[in-house]
Amino acid sequence: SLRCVLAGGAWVRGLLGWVRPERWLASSSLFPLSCIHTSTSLQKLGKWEKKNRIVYPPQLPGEPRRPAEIHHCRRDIKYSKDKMWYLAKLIKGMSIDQALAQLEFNDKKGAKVIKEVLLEAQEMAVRNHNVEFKSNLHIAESMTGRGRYAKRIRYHGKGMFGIMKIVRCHYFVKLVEGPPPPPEPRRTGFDQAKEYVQQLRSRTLVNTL
Amino acid sequence: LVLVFSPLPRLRGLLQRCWGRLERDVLSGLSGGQSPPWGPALAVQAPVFLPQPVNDTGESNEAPSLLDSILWMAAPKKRRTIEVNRCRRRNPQKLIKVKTNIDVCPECGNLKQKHVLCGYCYAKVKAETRMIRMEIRKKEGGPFNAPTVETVVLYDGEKPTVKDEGKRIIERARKRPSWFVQN
Repeated sequence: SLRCVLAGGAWVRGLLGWVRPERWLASSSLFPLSCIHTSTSLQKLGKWEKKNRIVYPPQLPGEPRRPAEIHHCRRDIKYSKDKMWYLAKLIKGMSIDQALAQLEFNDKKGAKVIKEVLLEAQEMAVRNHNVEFKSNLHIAESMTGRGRYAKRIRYHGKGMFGIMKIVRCHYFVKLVEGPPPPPEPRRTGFDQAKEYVQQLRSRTLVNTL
Repeated sequence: LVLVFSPLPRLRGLLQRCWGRLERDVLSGLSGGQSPPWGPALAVQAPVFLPQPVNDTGESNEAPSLLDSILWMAAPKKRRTIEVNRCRRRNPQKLIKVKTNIDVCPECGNLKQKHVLCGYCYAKVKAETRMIRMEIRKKEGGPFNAPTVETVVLYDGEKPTVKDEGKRIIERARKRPSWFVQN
C-alpha cells in the first residue's frame, strides 16, 4: 500500500509484525499471544536509530548554522555485507541526486535496496528534520554491517552435507544538509617527499644542550 | 614331493601315516633298483593357502590413485591475513566505477542512460501498445486472422482520412497521446 511505501522500514515492520512469526517469537518468547501487538516501541532501537533523537541546545546568534544530520538505516537485508560494501563505497561523499542516479543504473541487488533507503531518508529529512531543499543533501557516511546469520544444511551428493550460512546485512546512511564537500587532493609523491624532509628537519638531539 | 598343508589335524595325521607306509613300501620294493623317478604328490581336496603375492611391482605399473595424487595438489601454505585480503578486495580495479553517461530524458524528466531508451517513456509506450493489441485481438477473434492490409489506430473524435482507404481501422476509446503522432 502507498502508506507502507512512504513510511519508514521500522514502522512497516511493526505494522506487519504478524507476517514474520520468527521475529515476534524472538522478541516476546514468554507470552506468544501478546505478539499481535508488536510495534516499534517494543523492538529494541539500535544505536543508529537513536542518533536521530539527540537535541542540541539552541545556537547563539553569532554561531554558524549547524547543518542538519539525518541518520537512517535498514536492518536484516538479504544480501552480503561485503557485496553491499562496494555500493556503500560508491556513494560515499556524493550528493543525494548523484547517488540516486548511480544506483538507478547499477545492476546489483543491493542498489535497489539502498535507493529505497536514500529516498526514505530524504523524505524523513524534509518532513521531520527541517531540511528546506531535498536536493541540498549529501551523503556524509554510508556503511554496512553484519546482520543475523542463519545456518542451514546444504545437501550434496552421496549423502554428504555442508552447513551454509544465510547471510544478511544492515545498511546505515547519514545525510547532511549542504553541498558535498570537495574531494581531497590525491597525495602526490612530491607531497610525500616534502613531508619526509620536514620530518627529518624537525628532529632534535636528546639529552644534550 | 609337494607337501600340502591340510587344515584338518586328524586328516593330516592320517595322511602322514599313509604316506609313511607308502614310502616304506616303495623303498622296500625298489631297494635293489634305482630311486623311483616319479614323486607321488598328495592330492587333497582342501583349500590351499598360497602366500600373499608381493604387490610392489604391480602398483608401480598402475596410475597413482587419488590418495597419492593429493600430495601433489596445490594448497595454500599460509592463511591470508585480513590486510592482504583487504588490499585485494579494495583495490580500484574491484571498486564500482562511477558512470558518466547518465542524462535527463527531455520528455518525462526521469534519468536515462545516453545510449538507452528512457525506461519511463518505454513503459508508457509498452502499455499503450498492449491496449492496441487487445483491441486487435478482439477484432480478429482468433489466431491466423490477420488481414493482408495495413492497420491504422484512431483515437476519440478522429475520422479516417483519404490516405486511410482500404486500411484496417482500430478504435481506441481515449484521447490521442501526445507522443503518438498522426500521419
